[in-house]
Amino acid sequence: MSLVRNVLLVVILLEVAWWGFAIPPNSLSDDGYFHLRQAENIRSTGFPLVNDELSYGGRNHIILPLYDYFVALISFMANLEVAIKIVNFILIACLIASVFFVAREMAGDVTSALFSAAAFGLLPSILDNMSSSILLGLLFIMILIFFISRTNISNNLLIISAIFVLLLFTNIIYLLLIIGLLLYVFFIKTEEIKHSQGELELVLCATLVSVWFSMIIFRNALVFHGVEALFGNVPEQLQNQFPNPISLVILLGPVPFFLGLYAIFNHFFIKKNKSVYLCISLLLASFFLTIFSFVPVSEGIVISATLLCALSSFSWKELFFSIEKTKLSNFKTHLQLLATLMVVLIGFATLQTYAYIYKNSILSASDIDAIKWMGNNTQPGAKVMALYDEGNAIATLSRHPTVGDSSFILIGNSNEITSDQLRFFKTYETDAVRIMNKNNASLIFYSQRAQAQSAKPEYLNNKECFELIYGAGAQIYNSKCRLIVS
Amino acid sequence: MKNKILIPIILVFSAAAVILMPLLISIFSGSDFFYGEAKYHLRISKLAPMQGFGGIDYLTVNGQKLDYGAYHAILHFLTRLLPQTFSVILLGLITGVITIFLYYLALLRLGLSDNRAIFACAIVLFSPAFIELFGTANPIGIGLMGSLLGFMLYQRKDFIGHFLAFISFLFAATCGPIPAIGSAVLLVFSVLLERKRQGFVFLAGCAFVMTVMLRSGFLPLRVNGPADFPFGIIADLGFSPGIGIFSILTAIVGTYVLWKRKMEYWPIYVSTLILFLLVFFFSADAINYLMFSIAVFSAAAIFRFIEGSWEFGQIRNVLLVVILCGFMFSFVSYASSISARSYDQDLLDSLRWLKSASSGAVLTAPKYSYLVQSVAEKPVFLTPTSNTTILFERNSKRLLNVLNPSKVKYIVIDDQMRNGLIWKRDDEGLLFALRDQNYFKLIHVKGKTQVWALTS
Repeated sequence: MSLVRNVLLVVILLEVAWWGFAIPPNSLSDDGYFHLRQAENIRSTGFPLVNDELSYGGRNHIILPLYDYFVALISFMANLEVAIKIVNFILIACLIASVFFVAREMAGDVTSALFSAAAFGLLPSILDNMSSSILLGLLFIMILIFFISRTNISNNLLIISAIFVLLLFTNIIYLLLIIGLLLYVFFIKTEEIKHSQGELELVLCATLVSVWFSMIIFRNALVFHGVEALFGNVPEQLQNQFPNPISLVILLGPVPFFLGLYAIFNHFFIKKNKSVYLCISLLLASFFLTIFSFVPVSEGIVISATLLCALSSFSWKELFFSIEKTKLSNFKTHLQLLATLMVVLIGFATLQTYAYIYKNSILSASDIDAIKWMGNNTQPGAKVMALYDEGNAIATLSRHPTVGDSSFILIGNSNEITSDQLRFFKTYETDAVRIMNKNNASLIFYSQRAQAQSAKPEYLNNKECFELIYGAGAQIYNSKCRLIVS
Repeated sequence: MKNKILIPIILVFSAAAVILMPLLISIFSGSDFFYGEAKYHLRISKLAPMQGFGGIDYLTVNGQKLDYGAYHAILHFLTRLLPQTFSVILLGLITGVITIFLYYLALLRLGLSDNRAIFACAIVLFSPAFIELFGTANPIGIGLMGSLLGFMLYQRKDFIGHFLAFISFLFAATCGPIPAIGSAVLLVFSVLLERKRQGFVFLAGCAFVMTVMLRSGFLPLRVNGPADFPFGIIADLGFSPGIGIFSILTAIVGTYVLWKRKMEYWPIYVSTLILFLLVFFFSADAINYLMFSIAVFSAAAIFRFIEGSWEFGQIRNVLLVVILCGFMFSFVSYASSISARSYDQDLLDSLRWLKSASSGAVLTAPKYSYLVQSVAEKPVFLTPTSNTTILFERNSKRLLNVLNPSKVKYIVIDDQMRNGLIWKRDDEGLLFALRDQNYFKLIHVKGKTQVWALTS
């Protein structure tokens, strides 16, 4: 094994270790707390939590529970918060491996594939999707790409079918896969690329199965929200929150982004490679579904980044191949080591910077303490007003019902509730009391996150209406006023 | 031979089962068999044809024209002999069974094999559109029967055949704008397919009589708005009328499968295209016709799946099972949604109370207009095709300036209207204006349904 490969392997192992140890266990996103609660319910009852009395003061969930069962299974070895961290760690490690295998299958070169895998391990966009079922879904998609891009899929039919069925029970991104596969069929037909009939049969079957599955699982939501139900009924205020172009490139990973684009250009217009068409089709599906707000931006970015990493293996391969043709071929190993250093430095710098930003965007230890205090020291059924993306954490840690959280499906007036939550800490006193009354809320959780987002509203100083009952960092208020319309 | 007898019998029994389903569901689940527009058809069918054709609807504030057609006239005579519900079901049953047979014969005429035609009939039978057309009070179904009858009768070579075809096409045209367009399309196809010498004379004669009828104001002209593009035709997304998603998906595959024989099946391609345009640009009512057209493509796709060569036989089997489940799911899902079609009891009680109140028009959500007309027997300010801007007016004086000249005396508001059907906030539009006690007075409350009266 060459020196470069050894170095890259060490880099990948260090990355895996970083993901295992650098992220503290209680740093979950709101989505993470949702899964924690689901796994907890699975542990105690064997089934996911469908009738949730705490979320939005009582609602039904539509659950694709595979990820939660996975967390629940691991939680028999450790407590739930550690279990979810272990699951994250396993998934990220598996994803790095899957990127390597897909890249090797496509480019046919181990060193290039190792470069791609190393670049994937340093993607900042993974942080936004930690403790979310999207990582498991993405892993299944990468496995499917691996098997579909092989020349003879007839030997792998059973595996492909099994993985597809697992994906159906994991995350709604199976629809992204279907749209990508349909685009792939369109490309291979129009470009007359050699393919087997079995591939088309597989795509047709997967399409109809997924439509049927969606009709069954999401029937109530589809009738209630229309087609938006398939992608979460996200309120208007939270749609199209795209990062600026520089942040986007950072989140996609600068090196995979540029090398991936070069590979797309080179193979899409010049060479005709079947597996590249598969990745490009999925990339296009991810791009358009994100643009049209059918896929959350953070999920769209991590899917695109993963595909770009796999595609970048072509560019790495061509780069090294062209070096061999020049007089620099004697220094090929040195140049490869230099490239490794460059990938690691750029990747690690962006990852560390983004890790800092991510840490500030989630609930702090002081916030979590306050929520736990609220659970032990306030009236159990009291409904809590907080930022929408703190709702699941409050429900999980304090067992209090919340005005709203980041799960919007089957919530008819999610636009209005989220709008109330978004403006609550920025409005005037009468409106704040009106919002509290309208949502039957009696407690206010004013987290350090919320404090960082906007200045403390003046009305919270009115002790007659808002009684401060907890004030160590995060603040908790008891609302005492009612608005009477004459 | 045995199959040739058995299959029509199965078709008749299946059609009868599907047509009776809404009635049975309404009996067992307590849903409203005459829901929505069906209430309107039932109400106006009480009028004799002489009063109905070209008549005025006195339960609208500005005296809109009644949409009285052949369906209402037939129902009027039937209800003189039989109970109301039984008449509607009997008419649906007879027209449904005849329509499915005529459809089968028309497909054979268009060159489809016997098996494919039967398959297409089965797809139509177990579709939400068939329940909607023949299982409920709906004049479009009888119009379709008339058009298909005209199409089949035109194939006869004698004068009687042509005369009856002429009558059938005109009969279909009196059932509403969509049946009239459907009739016109089938008429043109008949003439082009049969290539008879006097064909264009026949076409011109029909066109002339239809135009005279249209200009004389006797034809019902009101239609529901177009469907939302592109998902507004999918029954599984809660749209009614609608087509099952699996019918659409298999039809897409079928279009590809039949493309090589497009010169042979051009009438089906052209009619599908026309109906698609009608659905999205004219009226969603055309969806029920569209189902009959795309069932041909669905059947072609399923036949290709069954007969074609497959690399993976297991995939084909899975696919066929999924398609079958998908069709059944759409059908059962639509049937079960019928079981939920009923009005709030508080709203019904309030309207019954309003019936005994003094005369005056009612302002409420357009969705409830048929209910107000049939239960409270009062004129409505907003019909389903009206603009709802008035419901968002906050200024009470401006509101009265619009409502008083139309003699609107009552405002009916229920919980659904407050929670999304009309408003989303409790101080939005009319809800805010109602706080002005100088002009509005709450006169009746039942549960969450309120009846307000205009005081000046």
